[in-house]
Amino acid sequence: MPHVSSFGEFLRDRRLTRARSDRRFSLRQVATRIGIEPSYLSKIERGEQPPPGEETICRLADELEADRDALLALAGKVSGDLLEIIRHRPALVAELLRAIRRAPARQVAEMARQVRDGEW
Amino acid sequence: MITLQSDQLLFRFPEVEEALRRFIEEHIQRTVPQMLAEDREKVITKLETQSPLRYVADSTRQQASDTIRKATAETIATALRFKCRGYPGMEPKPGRSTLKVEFQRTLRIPDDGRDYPLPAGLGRFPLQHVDDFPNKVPEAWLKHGGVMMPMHQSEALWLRFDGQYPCAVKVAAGKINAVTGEGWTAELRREPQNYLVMPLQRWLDGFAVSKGIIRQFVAMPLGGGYSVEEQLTGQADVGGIQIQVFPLKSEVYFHQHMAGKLPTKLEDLLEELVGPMPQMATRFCAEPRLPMTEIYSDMGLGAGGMMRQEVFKDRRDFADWDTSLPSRCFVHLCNSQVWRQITGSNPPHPPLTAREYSRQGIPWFDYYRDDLGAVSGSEVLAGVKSVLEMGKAKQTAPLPDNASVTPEVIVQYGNARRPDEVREWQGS
Repeated sequence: MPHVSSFGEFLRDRRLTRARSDRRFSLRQVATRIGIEPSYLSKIERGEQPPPGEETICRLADELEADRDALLALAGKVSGDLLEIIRHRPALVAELLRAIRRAPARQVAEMARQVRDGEW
Repeated sequence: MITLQSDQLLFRFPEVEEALRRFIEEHIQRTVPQMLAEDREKVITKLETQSPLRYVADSTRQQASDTIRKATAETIATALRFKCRGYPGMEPKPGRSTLKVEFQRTLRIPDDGRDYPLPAGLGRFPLQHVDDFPNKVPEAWLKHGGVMMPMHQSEALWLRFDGQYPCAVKVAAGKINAVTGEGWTAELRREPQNYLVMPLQRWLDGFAVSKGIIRQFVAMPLGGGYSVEEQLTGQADVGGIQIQVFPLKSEVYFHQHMAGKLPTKLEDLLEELVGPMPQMATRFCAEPRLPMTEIYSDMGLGAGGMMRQEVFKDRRDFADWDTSLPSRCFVHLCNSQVWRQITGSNPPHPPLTAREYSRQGIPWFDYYRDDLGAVSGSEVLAGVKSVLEMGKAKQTAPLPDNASVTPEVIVQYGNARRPDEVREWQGS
């Protein structure tokens, strides 16, 4: 399961980088702050356990200052709000995602951004 | 839904596209059983005796015939979807139901009592989201939302509209409707018509003052009394350009522009089922052809010289417009110095004078469609003083380089041609 390993590796790298300058990022302290057992976090980091649920991943992302969506994607998951958007208009969202698959990032950012209307 | 891409405002209607996709899918569901029930041998005989399969190699003909014989409901449905790929709602890339609006730099025509042909476009004005500069733009701009654009004082512009999906478009300057001269309202109205009809109207250069004549949009600082808004309301507190777009109802579009053209027989799907035949590449590879955008940083639009341009009458049933799906955008105008202060980038060069324009041999354009009919123009707008007349009353000269010119190179566009001719000048 390569995605498990890459998710775990990412977490471990990120945590250890922070831990070099801040002891609060030890395995035990991070696990305690996000409400899971240190041994469970250790197994996730080593790829011995699949990624946890969305809520825990989001807490991990916040704790390690990572992007929630990026970390969820690394775990092979899609956040609940995005799922809701896809369920609402599945064909349209699928079409949009396929259309932007090869578009440069700048173009995607432009597309995602609507011109805001205010009070006239 | 409005986005900003490459200095163009893109008005897109996902609800319309989704509805059209649904209509096409329903057509496919209805049509597949009918196609399945067709006598395949008759279809093959017809295709073999008529042009598509008549002149191809025996092996190709045999292969095509076998494919038609073996076509299942699934392959027919896939071929139908592929055949419909160019229609709004079905295209892999959004585009056909999008209206693009851009603002073209242009020559300010002389205000000398004569009516001129249409000057060329000299490039797009840059556009930026006002939200990108929350600490630098006036509070009112943030309240209005939208985008901003730089203009030199007394510079002219025209609006270019590009899109195939029918839309009704209201355009206002300082919240004064450019077609009727009335103050801004959210409604679309037929009598008098307060909107432009897309895709007929490719360009708008100014205020519609009489039938076939407009007075060119010319940027002037708000507060000086030159803008149409100030003359009609006595206030100088809005400025800018306002655009509101209403799409055609999806069901009307489907029935008027698509339903009769969708494939209904197996023979219509030859290429989609078996691939292009050598002799018919040009005939069958074509995409479905569809029938036919408190500080004086604010600028407003005044009335410039007169130009020959028709605002076409709406010939549709008024109920065809979907007034439940309006999309609107406020375009703030600021002078070039303020643009530089806000964005840190330079605005485009000052516009050409009429003399330089002639010297460079840049063409003018005449565009007549006597088959379409034009609105009569607004008496209110006809009564507005032009920037030059206001200047005379104030004993100032707001328009430099106003000498008359004689347009020499005039490109004629008219009934015989498609109404999407290019008016942009790319240089000689």
